[in-house]
Amino acid sequence: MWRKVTPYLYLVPALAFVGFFLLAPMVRTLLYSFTDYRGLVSMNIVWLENYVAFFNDPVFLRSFLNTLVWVAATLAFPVLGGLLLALLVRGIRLEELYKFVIFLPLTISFVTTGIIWGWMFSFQLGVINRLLEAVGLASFRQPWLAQYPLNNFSMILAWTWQSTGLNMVLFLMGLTTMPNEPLEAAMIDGASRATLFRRIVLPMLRPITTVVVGIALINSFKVFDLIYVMTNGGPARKSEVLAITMFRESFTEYRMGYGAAIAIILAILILAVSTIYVRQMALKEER
Amino acid sequence: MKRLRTVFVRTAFLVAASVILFAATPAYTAPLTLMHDKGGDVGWTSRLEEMSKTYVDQTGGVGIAPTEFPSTDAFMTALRASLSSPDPSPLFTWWAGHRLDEFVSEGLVANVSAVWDKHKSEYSPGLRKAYMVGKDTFAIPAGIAYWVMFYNTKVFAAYNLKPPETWDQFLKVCATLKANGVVPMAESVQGGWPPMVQFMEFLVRTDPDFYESLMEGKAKYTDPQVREMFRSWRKLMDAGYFSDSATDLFADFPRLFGAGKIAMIDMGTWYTSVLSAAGVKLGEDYDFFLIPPINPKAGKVVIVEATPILISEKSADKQAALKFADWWMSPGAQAQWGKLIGQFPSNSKSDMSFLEKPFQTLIAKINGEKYRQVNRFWEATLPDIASDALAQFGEFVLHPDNVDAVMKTLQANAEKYWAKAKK
Repeated sequence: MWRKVTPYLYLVPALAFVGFFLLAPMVRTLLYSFTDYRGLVSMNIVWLENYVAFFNDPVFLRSFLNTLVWVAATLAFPVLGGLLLALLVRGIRLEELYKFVIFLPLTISFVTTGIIWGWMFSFQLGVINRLLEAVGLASFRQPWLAQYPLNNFSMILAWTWQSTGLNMVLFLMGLTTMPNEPLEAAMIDGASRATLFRRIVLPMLRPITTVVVGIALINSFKVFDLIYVMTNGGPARKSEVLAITMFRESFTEYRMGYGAAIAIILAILILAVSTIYVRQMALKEER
Repeated sequence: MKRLRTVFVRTAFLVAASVILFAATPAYTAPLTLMHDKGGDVGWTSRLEEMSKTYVDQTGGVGIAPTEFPSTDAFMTALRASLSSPDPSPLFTWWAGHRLDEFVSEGLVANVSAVWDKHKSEYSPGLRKAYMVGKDTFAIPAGIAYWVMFYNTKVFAAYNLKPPETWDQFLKVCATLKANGVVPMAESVQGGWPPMVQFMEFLVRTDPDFYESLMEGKAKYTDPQVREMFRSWRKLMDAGYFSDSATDLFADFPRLFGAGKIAMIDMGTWYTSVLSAAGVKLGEDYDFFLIPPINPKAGKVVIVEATPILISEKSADKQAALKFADWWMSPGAQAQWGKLIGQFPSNSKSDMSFLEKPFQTLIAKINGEKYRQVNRFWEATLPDIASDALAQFGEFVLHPDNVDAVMKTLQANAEKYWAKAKK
C-alpha cells in the first residue's frame, strides 16, 4: 500500500505551494467578487451587482475596448515585427550585432521602459517634440501621452520597441531548426520567394508561431506596468485597460469586490481566447 | 532518593531565580509605530524621530517609531491589513474630511474629542471641522497647507504687475502676461487629479456656501452655480490663459515656472518643496497670493488641506497614543513640527517666527483678514465621488464643449454614492 501512496506524497509539497499561493487566492478573489468588500472589516454579499455594474459603466467598456486594441496591436507589431526582423537579419553580415541590439530592450524592466519613453514623449521637454522643432516641424508637435487615442499608440510603440526582440529570437530559432530539404526541393521546382515563404516557411514555423502568438496574446491582455507609468490610464481614464482598471478599483479606490469581479472577467477572457487559439492551432496541425 | 531531591531543589532554585530576575527587569515598552507614506522630498521619518526624542525627553512617555512606505499604494494596502488585524498600528497618517468616514463607521479609529477639547482655545473651529465625523473628532493635526497662487516675482516685476486684489485685476494680469508671450497659468491633466484644482478654486470663489452644500450632497452638479463656474473656467481657457494640459505638474512645471515661461501655478503650499528641489527659490524667484473672488459676494475664501494623524481604536497601545496626542497638540510641539516640515503649525498659539517671510505674510493675511477656510475637494466630499469626478474634470479640460455631459455624469455619480452612503 505504501508503494502506491509514496509517489503522491512526493507531490504534496508542490501541491501545497500551488494550493496556498495560487488556488486559494483565486477562490478568495471569486468570493470577493460577489461582495462589497473594501479591505477593512465589513463585507456584505451583493451577488452579481459588481458584474452588472461592469457591463453598464462606459468607463469599463472603454477599458475593454482599449484592451482589444492592445491585443490587436501586439499581434500586428511585436509579433509580425519579430518575424520580419528574423527573416531580415538571418544570415546577413553582423547578424549577431543586430540580434544583440534588437534584443537588448527586453533586458530592462517595463517600468524603466515606461519612464524613458514617458520622458521622450513629454510635450514640453521631451526629445521627440524637441527634435521636431529642431528640424522645422514644430507644427507636428503632439501631446503624445495626453491625447486619446494617440496616447494608446505612443505606448504601443514603447511596448513594440521592448517586446519585438524576444519574438525575433523565437522565430530565428524556428527558422534555424527548419529542415532545408523541402525549401531546396521547392526552389528546384521553380517556386518564387513569396510562394516559398507562404507555402513552406510559414507552415513549418507553425509550432513556434503558436508559442509566440500565445505568449503575446496573454501578455497583451495583462499589460499593466508600462501604461501605469506612462499615463496611469489617463487622461480622464481614457487609456485604461482592464488590468489598470482592476488595479485602480482594488488598490486605489479600495472597491475590492468590484476589482475582484474585473479580475475574474479578465481571467475568463484570457483563458477563453488562449484555449480557442491553441485548440485551433492543434486542429490545423492534425490536418 | 537523595539524587532526586537534589535535582528537585536545583530546579526549584532556577525557576525562582528566573521569576525574580524577570520581575526585577524593567518591562521593555516598545515605541508606538506610526505608519506613513511621506517619504522622498517630504521625508517625515527622520523628523518624526526628532519629535519622538523631544516627547520622551519632556514627558518620559513612550516614543514613536515611524514606519515609512515607499508609495501611497503600498501604504494604503499595508494600513488596511494592519487595521483589520488583532493589534493594529497605534498611529498612522491618513486624509481628513470624508476620507475618515469608512474607518469611523467600522469602529477602527479612536475618538479624540477629549484631547481637542483640552486644546480648544488653540485651534480654529474650521480646522477642527476637517477632522470631525458627525459631532466627534477622530484625528489630530499633522500639517496644514493652504491653496494659493504661486507667481514668478521676476516675471511680474518685468511687466510691472502686482498680485491682484480683485477678479478684474486678475484678468488684467493674465492678459498682460499673454500679450508678452508668457503663459499666465499652469493647467494639467497629467496624473489625473490636477483638474480638480481649477474646479474647486473657481467654485469656492463663485459661491462658497454652495460649494460646501455640494460637498455634502445638498446641492447638485447640474445646478446653475456649477454651470456658472464652468463658464468662468471656459472663458479663461478660450482666452488662452492656461498652459497646454499635457504639461506635467512635477516633471515640467517647476522648470518652466523657474524659467519664467509660465507665470503662475495654483497649488497647495506644500508645492514649495517641489519647486525647491528644482532649484526655484521662495522669496527670490517666487511668492504667492490668494486668488481674489470671481463673485465679490463670495468674500475672502481659502482652501485648506489638513493632514491628520489617527489613533487605532483596537490598538493595545491606545492609551499611550492618546497621551502622545495630547502632547503633540500643544503649542510647543506644533511649533517644532511646523519648523521641521517647513509648514504652518496648526496650533494658532505656536511660535511662527521660524516661517519664511512669504509664509508669515500669508498666515497673517488669512488670520488678520478672517479668510473663510474651506476643505479641499478631495476630502470635503465622499471619496468615491471625488475619485470618479477627476475623470470628468479632465474630460472638461480636454473637451470643454462636453460640459453638459460632464455635469450630468458628475450628478449621476454623486446621486449613486450618496444613496449608498445613506443606507
